[in-house]
Amino acid sequence: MWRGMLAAAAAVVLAGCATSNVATQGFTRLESGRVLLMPPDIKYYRITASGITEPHAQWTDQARTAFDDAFAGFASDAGIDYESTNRDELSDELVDYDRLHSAVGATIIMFHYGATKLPSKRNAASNDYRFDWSLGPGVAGLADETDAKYALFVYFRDYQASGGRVGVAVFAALLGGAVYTGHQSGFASLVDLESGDVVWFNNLPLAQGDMRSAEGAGRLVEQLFAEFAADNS
Amino acid sequence: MGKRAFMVSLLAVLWTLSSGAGAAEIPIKPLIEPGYVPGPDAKADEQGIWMEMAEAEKELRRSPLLVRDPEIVRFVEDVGCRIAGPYCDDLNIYVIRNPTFNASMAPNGTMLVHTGLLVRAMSTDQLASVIGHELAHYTQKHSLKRLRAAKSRMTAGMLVSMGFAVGGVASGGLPEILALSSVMGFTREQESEADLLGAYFMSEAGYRAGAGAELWQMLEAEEERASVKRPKGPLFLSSHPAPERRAGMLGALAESLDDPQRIRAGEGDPYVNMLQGAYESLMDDQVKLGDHGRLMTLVERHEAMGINPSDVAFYRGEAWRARGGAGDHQHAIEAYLAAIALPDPNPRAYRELGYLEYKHGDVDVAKTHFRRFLELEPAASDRAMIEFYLEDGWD
Repeated sequence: MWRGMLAAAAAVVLAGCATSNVATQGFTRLESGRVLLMPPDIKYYRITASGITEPHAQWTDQARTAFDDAFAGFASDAGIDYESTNRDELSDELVDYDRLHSAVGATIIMFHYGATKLPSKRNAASNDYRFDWSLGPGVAGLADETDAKYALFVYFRDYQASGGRVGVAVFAALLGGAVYTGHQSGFASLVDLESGDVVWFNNLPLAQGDMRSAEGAGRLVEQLFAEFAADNS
Repeated sequence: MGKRAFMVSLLAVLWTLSSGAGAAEIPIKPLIEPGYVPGPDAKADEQGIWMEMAEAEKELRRSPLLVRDPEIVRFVEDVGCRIAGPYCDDLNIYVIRNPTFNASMAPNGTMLVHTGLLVRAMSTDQLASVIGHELAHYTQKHSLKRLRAAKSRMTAGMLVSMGFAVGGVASGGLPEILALSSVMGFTREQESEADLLGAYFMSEAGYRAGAGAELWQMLEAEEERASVKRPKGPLFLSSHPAPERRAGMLGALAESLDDPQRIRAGEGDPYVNMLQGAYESLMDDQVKLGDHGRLMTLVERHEAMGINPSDVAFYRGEAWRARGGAGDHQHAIEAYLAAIALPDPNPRAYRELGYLEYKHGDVDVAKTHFRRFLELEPAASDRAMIEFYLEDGWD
């Protein structure tokens, strides 16, 4: 359900721009501390002529591999100490927090970045909205289990128009109509494993680059982690 | 395959069977070889569906609704493996806690069996008939075909209405389509093909193909007595062949596949032991469904199967108590009294008698039943509550 909400949220904020969109709480740059990279939730879809989005296994595999390589390169340049995780080998507790984060992440996209703001998060004085989302202090146990100070969550979706869909779009344009031909979106979220707080969040409602290729993945990692680490400014 | 073509092939099969000797040759060629996984050459939509299903299956393994009772799981898996033969490793069966009669098959061989099916079937053969049927959906790639048919219909529909086309972002995703195609169900031809091929899988594995027809007759009988009928229309009756037709067709086929023999009402069938082992957890969910007619049908069925008579009497009491209409509590008391008069009495009958007597009758009698319940179930989770009644906590 949360994944569906994310897709809907992505649609709501599509009007945004392609630059990064960072929100933080009590965090400026990653200076030190080990990062636990949660299994990146990356998926590629193909849009058929009729507008059905189909999951695409090969593209998804390519994108996941390219992301892993690009992130490794980025982390090495930025001096980030991190540990990858395998989706099939997560402890039950990590799976629970992964799901909780899906829900919290979708809520952040919907209510912090989206058009619908929560009145309870509004600062009357400055007329802006507090970014104080958290998974709760219960995550503290994960710090002991994993030896990490932070957990990093990555979400990315790419909807690619098929040849048939492009044809439909061209035809529709001739008739003065508009047809959805795909987009890319994603977010990255850093959670402090002591407090459970989401300390850094970057929303990319309209990402640019093809995660399936090395250069594309490199560009996307740069967009996702802009201004993230000390040595990467 | 059109309906007529199907009936022709069915007749051909029946003819072959009645004239030939020895094992029947399976009349429909499975489209999937054992060990099949869509390779890089497979179409992208099939690869994508398998990827999504593999992820869904991982979620399923962690689901709180997944039944983990090793006795049940092993039993169902063993039947599945025996009927699947060379497809044993391709079939991943999960028993799901759901009180309705159902089973389903995903394109990648992930099969769900509802506990509501286990509590309704009367024999290993009947369970095998459902697994055989679902296995045939898998080997014939029915989901994928259905999905592709839906896709091409949507394409056609969209091209026609292009002038009004408006781009939608989150519409038409695979989950929606899968949901749609499962609401639409398989086509009747696909269901009939699965019935036919399933009967052959059964026969090959040494199960009695006639059990399929029995199961459909039993569902019909339950439906007639149900307090709340199963919705007619696309969910059930129109996508599947009508149960009576289905029973008839399967029966005709089975006659040629099976040696004539009577319904085995449980005797010597390990199915009864499996059901007995999980009886209370499965039946408690049926009680919560709150359908008196269905519950009474099940109780009578289990009585005929040889489930512990005291347990059966207890659930007869539960059926009356749960309905709670005029006079129902009196019926319930009679049933619970029958339950405690039998050997190996179900302890919960004492507790329910306690509550009913407390409400409607004699408080001292109620206390006697409560005390007996606590003697039999000293670790009962509601012990404190019952002690409260025993100590006249209201006063």
